[in-house]
Amino acid sequence: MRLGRPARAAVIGLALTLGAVACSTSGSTTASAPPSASAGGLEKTKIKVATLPAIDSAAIYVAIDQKLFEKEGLEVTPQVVQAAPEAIPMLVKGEIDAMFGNYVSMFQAHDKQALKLRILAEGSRAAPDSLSIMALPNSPIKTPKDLEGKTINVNVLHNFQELALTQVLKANNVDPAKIKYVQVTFQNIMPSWKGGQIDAAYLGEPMVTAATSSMGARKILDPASGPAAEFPISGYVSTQEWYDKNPKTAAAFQRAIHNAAKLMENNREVVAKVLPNFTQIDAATAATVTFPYFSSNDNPVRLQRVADWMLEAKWLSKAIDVKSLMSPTTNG
Amino acid sequence: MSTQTLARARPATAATRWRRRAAGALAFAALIELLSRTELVDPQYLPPATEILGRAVTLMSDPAFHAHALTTLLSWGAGLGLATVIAIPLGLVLGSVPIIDAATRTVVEFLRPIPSVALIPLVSLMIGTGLQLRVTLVVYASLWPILYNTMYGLRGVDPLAKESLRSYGFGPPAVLMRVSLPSSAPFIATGFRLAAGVALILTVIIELLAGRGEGIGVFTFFASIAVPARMTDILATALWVGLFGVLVNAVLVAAERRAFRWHHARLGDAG
Repeated sequence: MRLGRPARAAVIGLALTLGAVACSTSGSTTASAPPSASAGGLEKTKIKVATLPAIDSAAIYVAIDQKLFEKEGLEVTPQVVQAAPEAIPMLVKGEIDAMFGNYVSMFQAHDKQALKLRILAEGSRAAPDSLSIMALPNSPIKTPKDLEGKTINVNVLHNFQELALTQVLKANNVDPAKIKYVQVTFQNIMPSWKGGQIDAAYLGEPMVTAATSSMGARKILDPASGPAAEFPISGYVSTQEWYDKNPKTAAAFQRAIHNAAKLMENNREVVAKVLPNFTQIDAATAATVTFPYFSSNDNPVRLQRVADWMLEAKWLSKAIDVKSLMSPTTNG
Repeated sequence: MSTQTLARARPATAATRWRRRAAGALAFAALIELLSRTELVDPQYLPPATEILGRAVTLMSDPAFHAHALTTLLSWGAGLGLATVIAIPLGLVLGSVPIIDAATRTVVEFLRPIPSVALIPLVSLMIGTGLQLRVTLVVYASLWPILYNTMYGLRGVDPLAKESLRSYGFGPPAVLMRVSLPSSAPFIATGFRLAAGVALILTVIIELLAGRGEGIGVFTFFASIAVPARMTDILATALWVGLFGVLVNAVLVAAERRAFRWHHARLGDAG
């Protein structure tokens, strides 16, 4: 045997350390705070929420920055994830209490019974010019009708981008069936657009501003206009099980998010200030981009529209009564 | 092995070899600098080499980068360590007990080509998405090179040596410890070296896809979603990951040569 005693000791030591790491990580996920008589009688005062590195997630950061959660007796730890699908297992496993996600993905997961959904608070709605179908300066695409037979990128196939655009195309006498969608990751949109793999680009902020100023791109259509005006995009969701256990915590969370949105309505500064905390948008860009609308109340009627369009597109196996998934709106 | 054959064909001192390697790296950097400065390639996608190197240096004093790098090192080390602890005994069993080898062959051949990243959704639902996800998938991917090299190593053991030991009345465990294991150790070491590279690649990829805010891959992800993308950050990070990979490989090659001098002598390529 060539392995000396030190080497053997090292191997055993490593194995023991790994064992300890494995135990400590699995232990932390099972520990759940027992209901206690804490401030305001909340079932749980410390919650973890998964967010996305996008402007839409801003309300939770504003609520932290402006101490709105603190006022409710809540301590919220945000956890930035790369994409919402990464957060769904975290929610199901109980690693996080709630997550920020787009309704189309969430309704699909609910429909497939991957999770029993509960909407804690509405998050963002598309504002005019926050989303845009754009063409390069030398492109033959001039009007919405020119989009027929053309290729457009989407982040994920069969998601809210397609859903909203379909309605707007119909309203503009364009046949939605004649649009070819390709899935292009955020990072690859610009290269594939310049390289001609897509004819028109489906952009969100801050890329709309960047493409307009640096490439002279032209806006062809606003996917959040007409029938899809103020289209609800994303919200804060959890599972029905979590909600049933923590109704007071859920209500406190909802109040803080709504209060943040009220602050954000007329004050760009509070939003711009938190963007560098979780996005890659610097202060200069933050001053010029178009923000989405942040919802200061919950409205089952406008959310029902999303579920109905999804059913129409056959993305759902059966109708969803959105109101039954929503928390009663509480006032702060 | 190719560098060694080259070295034999044209004898060169260690110093000369290092000088040639450095010259090659410098020429490559100069090429990048040229392509970028002349705008033959869009400098937004390929910044000049001097900028990348400069950023790589400043990254070293960035505490956020340190935190990401440490998480990556932890996932890599833990994954590689666990894979070793699992794969060597498994390889010894599969390589020395033909019945078990035959019985498990189909399953092993089925599992081996499954890419680790394809298992992200399954594993994250089963065991969670933190460090445990990354370590599990790194173990899965880096298990195979060690396992297979252990099995092949055992196959090449001199039967005469084993028979001699047996005829002196030694049992199977003694034969394994005294002949089979030492004789297949160079193969196992090679498997470990391959696994170290695989583990590094996997760690960064999994972080990029499901890092949950931690690791070098996440640092790269954030740099890539900025508008415009921070290419210098991405490439400077890639440079550090690459250098780390080269360093680990060099250390392991040196260790193998020192530990298994007899093996290399037998192959006739002892330096």
